[in-house]
Amino acid sequence: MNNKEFIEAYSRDLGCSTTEASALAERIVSVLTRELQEGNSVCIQDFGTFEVKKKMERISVIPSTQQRILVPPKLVLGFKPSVGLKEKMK
Amino acid sequence: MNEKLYKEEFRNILKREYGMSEREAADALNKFFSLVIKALEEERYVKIKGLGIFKLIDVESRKSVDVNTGEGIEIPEHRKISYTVDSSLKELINRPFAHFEVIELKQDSPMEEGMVEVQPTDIVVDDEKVASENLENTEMEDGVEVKEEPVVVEDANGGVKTDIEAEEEISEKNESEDVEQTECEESMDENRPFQPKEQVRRKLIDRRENWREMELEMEKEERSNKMTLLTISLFMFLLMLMGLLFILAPEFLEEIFY
Repeated sequence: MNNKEFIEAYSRDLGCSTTEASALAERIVSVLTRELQEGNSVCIQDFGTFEVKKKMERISVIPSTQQRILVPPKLVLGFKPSVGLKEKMK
Repeated sequence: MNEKLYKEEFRNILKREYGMSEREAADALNKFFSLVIKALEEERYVKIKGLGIFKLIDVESRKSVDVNTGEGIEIPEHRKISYTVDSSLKELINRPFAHFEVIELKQDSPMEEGMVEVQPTDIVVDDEKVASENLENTEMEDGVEVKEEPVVVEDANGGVKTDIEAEEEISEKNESEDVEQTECEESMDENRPFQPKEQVRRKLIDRRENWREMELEMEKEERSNKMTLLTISLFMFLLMLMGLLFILAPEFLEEIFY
């Protein structure tokens, strides 16, 4: 299901137009993005947790050339599905 | 920072910022996420703009060991949810660290197999441990020369300290590094590959300090910005006072000037 189909289904669920539905979806995503940017984790019950994690810098080797590189530290977003959802999908 | 945002707070934010009613906000949120689940069940793939892709992937059955009992068990095949971050969101999240770049490490001595996987935790976190371990090792090996070595190390430390007294943040970390270094020099003749490790460690520490300096600089800038604002506003205030005086009591000013 791509974004367009998702918005259509969402509008059907809410009983409103697709433009309204896409605006709502955008709001949710933008609030989520901002909270995550501030370093908070977002926990949605029965769905899962979005969390930003800090990855330390590390040294890695390019296998083909044996060139060693220093990979910088970075912030990565992760999603951990809730236990209930995990079981459901099994 | 580092707080957990639950659905209730999420709802409140929607209410506050977009003027939605309690019910609208709750509806929008609940239906959004339940639709993701539904779509996953039906089509196994959902893509949401600005958020990312949720996908169901198959995991084949595999053998493993029960951690508690040590018995071999078989994990049955199942499906799990995979989540891929939208590239724009990924960039937004990583923005505080975006200025870091991949650095290629130079290397003079030939590569040995033991050197391939240098773990950063070894290098950075356990500096002291590594140093002390190495000390122990050399003690074990050398046996007779044990008594001489600590003296050398102490000397090196003292020398370095006086050299770099001006710098503030040189503490145990550096000391242990120096211990390492002296040992490096000792061991260099025998086994050269030790040197690149030292270089790497140097680089890591250097970078960390740069980072700290940058933060300090940013703070300074903020402070100076505030100061300039204050002075400007004070200046404006004075000007206004002069103007008022000029308008209200010109005779008074004349008295002062002439």
